[in-house]
Amino acid sequence: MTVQSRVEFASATDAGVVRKFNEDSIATDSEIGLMVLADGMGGYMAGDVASALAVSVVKEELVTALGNLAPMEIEMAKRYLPQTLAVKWAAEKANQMILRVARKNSQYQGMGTTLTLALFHEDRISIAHVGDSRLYRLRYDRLEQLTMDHSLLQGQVAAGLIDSGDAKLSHNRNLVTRALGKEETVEVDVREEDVLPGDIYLLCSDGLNDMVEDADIELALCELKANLPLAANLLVQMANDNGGHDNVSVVLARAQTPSTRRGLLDRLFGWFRR
Amino acid sequence: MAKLVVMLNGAMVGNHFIDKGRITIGRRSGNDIHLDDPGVSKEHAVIQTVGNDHIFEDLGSTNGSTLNGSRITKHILQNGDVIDIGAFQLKYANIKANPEMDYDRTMMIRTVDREIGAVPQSAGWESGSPVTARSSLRAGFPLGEVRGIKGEFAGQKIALERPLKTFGTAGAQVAVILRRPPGYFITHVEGNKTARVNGQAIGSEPHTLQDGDVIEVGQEKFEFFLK
Repeated sequence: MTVQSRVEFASATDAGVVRKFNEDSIATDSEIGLMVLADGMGGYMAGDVASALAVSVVKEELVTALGNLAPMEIEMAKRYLPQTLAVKWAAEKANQMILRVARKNSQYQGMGTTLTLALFHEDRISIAHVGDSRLYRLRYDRLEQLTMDHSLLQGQVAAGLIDSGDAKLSHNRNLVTRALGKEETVEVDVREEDVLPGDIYLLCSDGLNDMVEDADIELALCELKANLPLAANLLVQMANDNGGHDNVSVVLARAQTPSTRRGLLDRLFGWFRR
Repeated sequence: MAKLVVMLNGAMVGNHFIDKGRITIGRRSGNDIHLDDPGVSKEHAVIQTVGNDHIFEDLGSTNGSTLNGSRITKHILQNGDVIDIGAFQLKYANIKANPEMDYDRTMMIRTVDREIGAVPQSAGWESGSPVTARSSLRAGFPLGEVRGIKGEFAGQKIALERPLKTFGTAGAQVAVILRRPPGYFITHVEGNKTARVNGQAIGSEPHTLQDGDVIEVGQEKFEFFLK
């Protein structure tokens, strides 16, 4: 059984109303169950180079890694599934590649990117995250943010310096505290979550969540979940209607209902085992 | 650089640049901004710098601090804010503390020890050109509503205040009405056949709604109005 039968993807990306260039990069891969998004920054129009590199390295690394997953003799392997270690490793590889390319090409110096990705496997999801591109989950029509921004603003809120309600008044929205391409090593946040049938996952660049309120994102996903491509396009449109100050990218994934995920025999044996 | 203009009885009496991470304000002479007035507490308030923000915090003063007439304890200063402390007024001036600033290009800052502190202006990678605030785009949105003719909502009025609302029968025929700056649109969501407006199928493209249009979707029939 391929992952293709278990997860449905849809996506949309746009430069926005104000910017001429789109420095976001996105990709999905139904074969391995991957959704990935990178929001590039810095350099003279090299942000798109950094984000495109991040996305392609992650994809290649994961295709290879998932082909030969082996138990690992490291401390982290006790706490995380091999797939989760693989997404972390892939993000670290992307960081190294961006640094290498930037060093060899002076015009790319200083480029960097955020990276957020989710890998679906069995009934789990492995998440890796650096920067302020978010992963949300819609479950039972409630929107939840699964990643915590690596931004100065998020740090201020966490430290109690700013009420989350006052965060809109802050001018630190655009300051990320972690990114790929800045240092030799990058701290990658990883997380594992259960996947329930009917869950919808939303990966987005800050061009969406800065322009569209969470309540409106939730509304759009609840109302339009029957048509994921339309939902993705309309979310981008909503960001642009509200001003479109930044590049905006949206990747959506829906976990299929169990009947399509498990064969009849599988389910019968499942009952016997109980 | 951001600064505070100190005013007394409408006249400027001082000018302080916010050039360090923590600026103290109070009646005691050791304060960075010394305000000699019985209505000011000895240690009245502080202004902390965090990244691009200057955060005003009242330190539990006896007579409090007010911004535009309302008492504040903690507030992220915005360009042009005037804070009343005793007989004094502090005017915050920072052309960068505008809503436009929020949409500058994303920048990476180095927080070696994750401690809060001033971010040098050179820490950012680059900054984008100023853009208009989003609130200005919200103004002037027309407000529409539908009135049920037949079906579940017959005889009812539904205001279309949110950015979108779906109508119809899930799994059979659903359409969504979108509220956008130019007006209202209806778009097909699911079902083999699309909804109808004034008897015509809307097709797969978004269809502009006009005042008085009659919409049929699923078991529902509505009339659309612009208020």
